[in-house]
Amino acid sequence: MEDHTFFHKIECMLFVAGDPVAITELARVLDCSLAVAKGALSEMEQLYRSEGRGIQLLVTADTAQLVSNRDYIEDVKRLISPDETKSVSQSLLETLAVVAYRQPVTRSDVERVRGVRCDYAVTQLIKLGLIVEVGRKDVVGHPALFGTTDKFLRQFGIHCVDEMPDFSLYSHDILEDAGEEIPAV
Amino acid sequence: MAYTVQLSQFEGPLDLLLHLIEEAEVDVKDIFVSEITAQYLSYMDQLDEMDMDTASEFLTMAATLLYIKSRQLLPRPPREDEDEESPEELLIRQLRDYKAFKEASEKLKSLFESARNCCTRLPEDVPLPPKEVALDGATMDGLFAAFLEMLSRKTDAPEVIRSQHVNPDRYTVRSQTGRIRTILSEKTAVSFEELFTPGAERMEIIVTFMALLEMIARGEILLRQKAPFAPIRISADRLLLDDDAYAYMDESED
Repeated sequence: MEDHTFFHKIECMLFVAGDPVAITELARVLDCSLAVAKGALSEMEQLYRSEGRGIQLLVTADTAQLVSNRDYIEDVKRLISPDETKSVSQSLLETLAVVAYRQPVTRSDVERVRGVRCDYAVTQLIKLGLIVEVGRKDVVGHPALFGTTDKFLRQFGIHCVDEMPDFSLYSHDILEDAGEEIPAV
Repeated sequence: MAYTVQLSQFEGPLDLLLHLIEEAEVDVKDIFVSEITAQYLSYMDQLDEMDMDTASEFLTMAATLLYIKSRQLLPRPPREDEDEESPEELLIRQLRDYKAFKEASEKLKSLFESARNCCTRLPEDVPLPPKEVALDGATMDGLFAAFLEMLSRKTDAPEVIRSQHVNPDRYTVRSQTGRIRTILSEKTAVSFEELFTPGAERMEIIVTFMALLEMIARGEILLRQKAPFAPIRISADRLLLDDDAYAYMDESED
């Protein structure tokens, strides 16, 4: 039964916090290793999901948070009719996709794929907290390298970037058929 | 009119090209044998409606397409570097890459939209206990330590030296004594720090401290400090109403 009090403590803290809680903080309070905390969280997450509870656990690389079960969003809407979050524009989505699948990338990497300038989109994504500067590329001018944040994982409801749709397909350069002839006029 | 689609609807030249390729139902690699170059160019009439940056992106692509077209009309010199991408290959690779990310962004969008159906709570507003300070018995050492702390906290901005004008002392022991009396007549006890205006300058702190010492010596006020280094509380004892005893300390009186 020791395990259960452990789960209950985590659940309790996450409920009070509301905001995503760093897993390192949970480990500190529970006086256990990070691995133990992560293990417990992923077990809890599976338990919640298999039972189809109204409250689900959203665990990302760094944080854990209690969220409502998305299957019951219609009931929530009927109760409180929350504001619809604004949808993300096409240019932001495309830029985010390039950063997410190919991270770390520079702004010019993104621009090369999209064929248009991306200053605005990159700035907006930084403002939204979805991407962040993760370092500098060791080339002339040391341009900033961007990667996705923990908030990105949370907003898209995934644990890590590998869980993005067809990650292995898009994360590499699109391969051409070898020796392909390009028909000309 | 064959082209009713507005240029501004597209994310950029690659987006427009992909749209044309889809319309024509050809494979990306067949772009140069189709009418797509001509169709693309027909869109360039709309460039005037766009801002310079966006227009130049579309225009660069138009130039690339025309360059590729012209290469195909002329006999080609043998390639010097086999590894180097020809403009055709480059453009096709770009188009495929962009197409892939357009698809990926669609998938991300549906991921985002389903994840959006999760609601979260706002953090609990847990009130933190207010800080309580009870004080009894103060020492002169403690007072001095508090004074030093206050001086170290306050570093004066470098003064502008004016040759024609010397500022009179703005703070006198007498004026500060009066201030302390006023404060103590409103409140029974105040902390040492409360006697100073926020962001007080060094001279004010020094003069206030001198005034405090004088008032202690004349038994006007009492000091209490609960423990060494604890905050000092000042309370009124026998406040004097006449200032004459301090008159000799005033440097400027005009």
